[in-house]
Amino acid sequence: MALNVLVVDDSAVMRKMIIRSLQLSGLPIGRISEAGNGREGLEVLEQEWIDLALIDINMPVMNGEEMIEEIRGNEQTKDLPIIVVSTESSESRIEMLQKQGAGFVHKPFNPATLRETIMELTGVTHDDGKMPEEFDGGGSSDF
Amino acid sequence: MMMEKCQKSLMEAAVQTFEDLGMMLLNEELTDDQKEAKKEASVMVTFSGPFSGRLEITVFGEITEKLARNISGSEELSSDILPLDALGEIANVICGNVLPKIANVRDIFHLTSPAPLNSEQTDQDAEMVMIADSHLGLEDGRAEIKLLIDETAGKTLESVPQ
Repeated sequence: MALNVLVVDDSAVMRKMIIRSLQLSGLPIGRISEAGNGREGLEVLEQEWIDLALIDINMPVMNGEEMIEEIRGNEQTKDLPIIVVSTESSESRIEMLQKQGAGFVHKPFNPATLRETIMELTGVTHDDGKMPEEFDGGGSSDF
Repeated sequence: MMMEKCQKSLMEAAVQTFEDLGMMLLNEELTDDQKEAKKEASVMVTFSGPFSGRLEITVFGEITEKLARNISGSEELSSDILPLDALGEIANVICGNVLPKIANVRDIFHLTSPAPLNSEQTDQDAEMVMIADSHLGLEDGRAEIKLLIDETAGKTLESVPQ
């Protein structure tokens, strides 16, 4: 099954970088949707079937924490797998997000870390069971 | 002692972010060409929490488009990507990484979205004090990174365990 992914970040360039990491991950990725803040992200969730959301924290209009609260409070989306991709380093804030069932990837991140967090949270595996070369060994750089 | 820690933490966060996210080659000893490069852009990220302040980055030379290409992974930039957006994201990541190193690791800070920094902004900041700055050579140009905090935050910072 291919995962339909929603990427929510107020930085267009960061969304492109995350999408590139997803496309290179070797995981079965289907449609990728984008949103520039939590409010836009919730609108996408109302209109499209999404299997995984990657959400930044610090965003205008509606931040990532508020968006996650809305998602968990909605019967239709309460079990959606969520990974927070953020510069956040406060232990207490990360613990609060993890209590909401969200995975966490710290920026700047290594694409392999993102892939492993997705596999851990969703249970999906690589398309053909092999690691893509780009993700093997020490050749990959942090993003 | 606290100022040394701030200086070291800012330099470490800046180097890691420009190298790992921006994928740029760095040098700390500036060349003559880098010193003479013209100012290209300035951005800032403001933060609030146990203390408030601002992180500023000014780049000299042709840096912003290269950053945007490196981070997005595309040679041709699409119309929705502004070169300044990439510099703003660099500022955001440096700020998010440096604050827990100079404050308590459990402290929560709220960061604003990156914004262009203009001279009017800096003129209004009599109560802001710079606690650390870094100068990095970036390929054909350079970057100046400054961390400023609200003057009243000094006592809060001094109370953080070393």
